[in-house]
Amino acid sequence: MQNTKGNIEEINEQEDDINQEIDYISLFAKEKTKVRGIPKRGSKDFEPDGSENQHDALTSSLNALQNALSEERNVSSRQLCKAIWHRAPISKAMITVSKGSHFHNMGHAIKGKMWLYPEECLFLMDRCSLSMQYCGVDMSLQHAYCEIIGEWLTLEKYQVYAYLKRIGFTVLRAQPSPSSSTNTSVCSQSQPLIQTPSHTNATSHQLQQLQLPWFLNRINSFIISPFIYITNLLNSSSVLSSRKSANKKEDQSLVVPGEYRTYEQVYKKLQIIKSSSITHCHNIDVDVEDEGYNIDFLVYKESAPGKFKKKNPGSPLFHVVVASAETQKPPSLPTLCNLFNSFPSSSQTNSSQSLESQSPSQLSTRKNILFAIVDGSNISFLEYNDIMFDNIHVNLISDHVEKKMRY
Amino acid sequence: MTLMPEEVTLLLSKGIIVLVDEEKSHRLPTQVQIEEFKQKISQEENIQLQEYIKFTEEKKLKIECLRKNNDLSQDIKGERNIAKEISPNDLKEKDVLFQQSQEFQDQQNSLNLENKSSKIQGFAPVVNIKTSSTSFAWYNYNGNCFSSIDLAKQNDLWVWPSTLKDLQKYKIYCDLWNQGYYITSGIKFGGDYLLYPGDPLRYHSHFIAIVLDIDKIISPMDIITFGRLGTTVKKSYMLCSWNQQQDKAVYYCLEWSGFG
Repeated sequence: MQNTKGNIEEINEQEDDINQEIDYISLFAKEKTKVRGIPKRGSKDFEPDGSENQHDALTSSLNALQNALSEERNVSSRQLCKAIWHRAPISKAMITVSKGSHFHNMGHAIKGKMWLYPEECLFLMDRCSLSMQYCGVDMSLQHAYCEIIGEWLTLEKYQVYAYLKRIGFTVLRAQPSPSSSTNTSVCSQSQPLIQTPSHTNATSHQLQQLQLPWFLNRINSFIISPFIYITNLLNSSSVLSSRKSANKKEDQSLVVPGEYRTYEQVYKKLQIIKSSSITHCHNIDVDVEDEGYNIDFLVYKESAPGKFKKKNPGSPLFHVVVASAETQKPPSLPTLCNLFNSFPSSSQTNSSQSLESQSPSQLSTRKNILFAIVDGSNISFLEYNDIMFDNIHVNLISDHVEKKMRY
Repeated sequence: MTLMPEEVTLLLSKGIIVLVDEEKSHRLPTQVQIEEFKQKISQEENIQLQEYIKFTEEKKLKIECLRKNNDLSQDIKGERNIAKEISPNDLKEKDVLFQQSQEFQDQQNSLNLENKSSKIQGFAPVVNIKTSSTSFAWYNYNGNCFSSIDLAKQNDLWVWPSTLKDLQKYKIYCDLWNQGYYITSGIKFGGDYLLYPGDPLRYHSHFIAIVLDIDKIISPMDIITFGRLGTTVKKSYMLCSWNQQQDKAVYYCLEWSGFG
């Protein structure tokens, strides 16, 4: 019995690591060696048993939390930047005193003056690096949150920005690119994806188009199937005729008798619907209602002063979209298409660096979008990948044999 | 730290919190307030400067004393006679030092009055970045506090719960809260809430709760999904619905039985 309980605790501990709860006791533990990075939560119990031990542990946890919350930000003016907040419509802060190396990857210069975006102001204030004034008096953090959160910078966006900055990434605002979602020329140059006979009903056609890529991938995987299945298709006319009925070209088989040297050639014939990838979904109606999803932040790896160039940062590790769990629905396919088309694909090496442990599905990753879903104080990250399914080849053993035979 | 909408509504209805319209409470500082604020800041800096000077002077004297003592003890070791001769000189020196330091302090004080603290070498005042606005004269929440949901609603400050789904969630939340559970957001575990037997700071959660419409048809696939979700994290998956007619909550728990 005790054993199982211990087991449960162990597993629970691992699972609860996903939670971003912090053990505030470790934050103020001075006698212990300080752990670098964001403090992690310590061990938890299964349930309250009314013991003195547990009571004391809870009290000290609560006290630590209280201490963390009531901690005042005191900092030597030697390390403190100063800025003046300019209210809307400017909504930025101008640096008057610059200290430290914050501005190698933050802020932007306008006519020789350094300006900070609202999220940069809040973040620097939060970590005791910036004192902001407005109308000749200091701003408290309480005031800054009230004043700065709004317009483009929602609380959710700031939470994601601050989280990514805190764990060491360089985070920049994504500038709207010229080929962004509002560009309608993308959809006008539609290439017919479906090569099946056109349906008479226009609406059902549209509907089919909307579901295309997912649907297509299914078909594709269906096509790449064992050899026996294909020979069956080739030889048995009964199977063919049943397939044909779906195709409406009653009298012709998909693979007419002839010379086929590789499976590839046969597959091509069998592929009645060309596969598509999300980055090439041109004929999907792009003019859908705006669901409020945009690439919000570009995330780069940790950068040393002097090495990172704000004006030429290179290709980002992640494109981050901030989503609110409470107010937003999951993105529709057209929205995803727009998002994927709004930035050029990064080089292969770059994306492979970012993924520490690559799952098979990520091997051929070209583009990915990181969705940061904010629910209260929780942030969950989901990654959308364009895996270029049509480029994935299943190696059949006989295929190898065939190649060897040809040489 | 942010509160869940359920928490805000509950605390508001229990009269534990009031909502403050922050935008209205932070006013533009008047000219007088700006002047007062600047004075206060320079006063605080002066106090810090005084302490700094006092501290450095004491340190200097201590170091000097230590050095003299050191010299003395060395002298004692070497030639005792000379040591005796030196000591009166030493005292004189101390006097001179003291005078010098006195002069220095006076100088500093005069500089102080002119508020040129930044010129003093090695001195950098500690700045406090305020967390709360309550100490500011231009912050005043009087008249901007709302103690009930209705009042807050009228002023467009709080509109949750506004949909039927929100209402169902809130009913379930309150029912579970009244049963003594500690409740947090369950989004990381594919549910609406996580239920804890004690404070989440110290204990693991036991249930993942999801609020469903009572008429919702659940497919077998849903049941497998829920069961899988709960089992992999050693929690029980709880389906919650609000029965409108009987005005009470209905709960079902899903758990893999572990037979094969």
